[in-house]
Amino acid sequence: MEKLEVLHNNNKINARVRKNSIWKSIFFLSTLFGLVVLVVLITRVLFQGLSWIDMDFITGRLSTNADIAGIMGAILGTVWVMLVVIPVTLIIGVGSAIYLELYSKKGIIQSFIETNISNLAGVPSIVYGLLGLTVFVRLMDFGNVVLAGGLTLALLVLPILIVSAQEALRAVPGHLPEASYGMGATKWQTIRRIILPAAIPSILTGSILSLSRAIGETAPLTVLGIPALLIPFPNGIFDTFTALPMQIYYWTIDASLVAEYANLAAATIIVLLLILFILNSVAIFIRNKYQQRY
Amino acid sequence: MATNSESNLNSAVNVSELIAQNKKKKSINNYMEKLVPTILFLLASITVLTTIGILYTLISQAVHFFMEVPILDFFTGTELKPLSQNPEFGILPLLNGTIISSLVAILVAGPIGIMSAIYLSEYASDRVRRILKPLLEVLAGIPTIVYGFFAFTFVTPLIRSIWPQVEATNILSPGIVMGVMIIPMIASLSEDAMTSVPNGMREGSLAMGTTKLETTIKVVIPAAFSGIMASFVLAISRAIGETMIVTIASGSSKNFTFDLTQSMQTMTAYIVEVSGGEAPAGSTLHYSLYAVALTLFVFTMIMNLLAKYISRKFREEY
Amino acid sequence: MSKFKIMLLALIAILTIGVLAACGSDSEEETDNNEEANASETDDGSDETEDTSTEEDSEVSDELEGTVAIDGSGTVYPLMSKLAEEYMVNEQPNVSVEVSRAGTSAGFEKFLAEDGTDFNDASRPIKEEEQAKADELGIEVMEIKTALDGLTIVINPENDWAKELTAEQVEDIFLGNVTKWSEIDSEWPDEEIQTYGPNENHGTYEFFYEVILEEQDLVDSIDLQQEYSTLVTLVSEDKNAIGYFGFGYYDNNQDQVQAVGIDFGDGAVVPSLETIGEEGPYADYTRPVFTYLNVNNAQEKPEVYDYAVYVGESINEFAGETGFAPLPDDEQQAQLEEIQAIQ
Repeated sequence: MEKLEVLHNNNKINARVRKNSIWKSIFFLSTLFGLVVLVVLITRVLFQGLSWIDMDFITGRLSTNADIAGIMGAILGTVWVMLVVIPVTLIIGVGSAIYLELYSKKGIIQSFIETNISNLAGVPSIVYGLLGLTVFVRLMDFGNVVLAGGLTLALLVLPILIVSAQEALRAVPGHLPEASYGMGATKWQTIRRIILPAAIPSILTGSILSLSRAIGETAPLTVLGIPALLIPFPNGIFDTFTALPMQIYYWTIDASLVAEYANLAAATIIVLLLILFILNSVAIFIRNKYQQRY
Repeated sequence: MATNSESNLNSAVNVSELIAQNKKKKSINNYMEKLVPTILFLLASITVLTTIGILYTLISQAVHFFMEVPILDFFTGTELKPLSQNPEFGILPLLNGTIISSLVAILVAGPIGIMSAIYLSEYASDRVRRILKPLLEVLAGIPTIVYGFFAFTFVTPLIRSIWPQVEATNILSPGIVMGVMIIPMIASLSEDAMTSVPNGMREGSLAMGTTKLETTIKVVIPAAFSGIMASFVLAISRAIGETMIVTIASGSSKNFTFDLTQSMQTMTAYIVEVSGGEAPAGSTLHYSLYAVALTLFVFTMIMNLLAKYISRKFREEY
Repeated sequence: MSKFKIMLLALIAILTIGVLAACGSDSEEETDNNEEANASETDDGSDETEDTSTEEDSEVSDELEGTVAIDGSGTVYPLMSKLAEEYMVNEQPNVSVEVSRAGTSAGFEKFLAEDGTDFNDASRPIKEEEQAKADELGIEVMEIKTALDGLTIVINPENDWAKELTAEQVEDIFLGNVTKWSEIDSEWPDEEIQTYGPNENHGTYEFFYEVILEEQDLVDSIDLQQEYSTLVTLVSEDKNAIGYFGFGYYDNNQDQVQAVGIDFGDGAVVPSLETIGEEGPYADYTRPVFTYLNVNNAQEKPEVYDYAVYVGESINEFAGETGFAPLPDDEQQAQLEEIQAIQ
């Protein structure tokens, strides 16, 4: 009798253990699902676009003729936009983070600003496009130039950067500023000479990541009105421009005019992903190099 | 670590000079100490200005729209014909397209995201987690225009080869691709919620002789439930605000239907279409853009606040 | 310590570059890289700047600089962008011609404004209220016909019954008077007709609605799309599809859709560069497409005038390859003289 029960129990246990291991595989496969899609996406894009990439494509001017079209204008446009986004987001972002972390008193104002920032992070990017259209393009009358696009994208990624800069400042070990105060340094001296230098690697990492978000954004730019054909290169922040994602967008929807445009879109995607990959590698490199210093 | 670089004292220097110098420095320092917080506060208030700017932009123009079209008609109208001779402005087709595409996305990303989170949090070894997690995050870093291209040129033809009655532009394909896009969001937020479940609870359960699966299902997930819910709500909010994927892959038919194989338009895609299309400033069509954007803004805002509320409750549990 | 300093320096360097970029850019534009790019232009048969071989001697032979801003219709965009490109490559490398395509009406909004665009492409004639606004602003507007477009009725390649339709049958289909093929001809399949077309954003829709359907409402079940690429795909994959769009989009996608021959009373006419024309057999479905020039800008800015003259000279040269039928030669000549009279 008892033996039977033990056997029965053993069977039950075995079944439960088996169930556990079956589910473990299912969980693992689910984790792989996203990665499989990623691999398919990248393979597909490479397959379609790689043969179209050569030096002429990278350094050439835009053209309606698919065989000679190049994307240097879009690359330069993206670079100019970055040159607007970087200083604007760094100054405002780091400044805000220092204020929130080290100066503001816990209270209504601080929690209001912080709540506001986290709400801004959830605003759809297309809404920022409308903001940029209304404020920068029309109200300030910049027109659809690099500066308007850059400022729009800067506002878009600012919340992300502020939050990551706050975390970077928070991660600075408390004994460093304590020592500085002990030496008789003032608050601003301590921030400038001790806290900021210690936090800079993480701030840089965060700013590169938010920058790569800005580079890939398309929706706000579609609202600002980027010319579909712009052959001269932009030479400054007051020039009209096009950017890599916009070029991908136009080529994708124009594939009905010229079938090869789909391949050009794929080739441009490869270039864009490559730029993002390099940026993110730099960010990861910085993070790993300076992570464990204390 | 920190050296005060000003302290290179040279004994040859006259002491009184030193004192005078120090005084001067002190006054500059005092001045800076006062000035800096003000500047930083001004910088921090730029984000508040951004919010004011967004609200001003949307509300000031949407008001014009609601003068022309009664609010009730706008929110209950099932016909959206903004450009015809007798225009109709009902937002329901857009709301419908937005909700359906987000639902498809969450149906894809929800189960897969949670199962990924379970694997990463409960089963994976440290080494595996360190490799898989960043790889999953890559999915979140791919620009949405790339997903749009992928949905339109690859996923749609693939679906059609299996299921021929699907139209060339449909809500299903961008929904699925959007789902893939938000997997990392659900996976990493849910995983955070699960890993913050105290280990004691797991050990207690395992000591009773349960398998890891039973512990996960009966102990960890219930304990982390509100965190998981918050990740869902945030992911839906993200899907509602997503623009390029639906713009490219779902076409611009303003169908009011529940048929996934059909083309529908979302609120975001409508904004792209109208702002890039023929919207004379000052026309009802132009103002409709801002009415739709305002609706979108309120929608995502509610979702975000809801997520925050849920996760705050969750933090109080331990 | 030195590590932080390097980091700080890097940060400062980035900031400085940004600030410098912000300061020293709007002064004057260096156009030297225009030269280089021209030199490195791949050999695609387009000539270099030095040996332009245009038939007419353009009277402005010196180097011009500046910007010409063009916006407007998406239908005219392929032709206008081609013209702009040829002009920049072969005529005036230092002039930047920017072509956008916000759509006809949105384009007019930007055109009829202080410091507005120089040209506005339009797939329909200017409306009275737009003309009134121009008068109010003191902008003298000149209409330039750029080409002729034939509205093309397209069906699925597998459709072997409706290759020819009368104009009335087309009307019946798009007004919803018939819903099945068999209602037109009992021999034809007993299946629902699926209608497709560009949405109201497009001048093409307006032409179809106003001229061909004489302002009667289109059938409710029609699937209207913003993007032509979507329309082509939809028609190419639906055996019972019938749609309409400008000839250019059919011309570029002949492997995916087939054109219907339309019978206006003297036998079926298939749209082609030969039949499209205001006097041609396809005249009933032919419409002119335009670009509108801001004459004040052309008088003040030599580059705008020069480009207008170039457009007047070259439209017929590029109409065919962008899917439009050329204007009659005498009409083009008369228009060119009109443009040259601006100065």
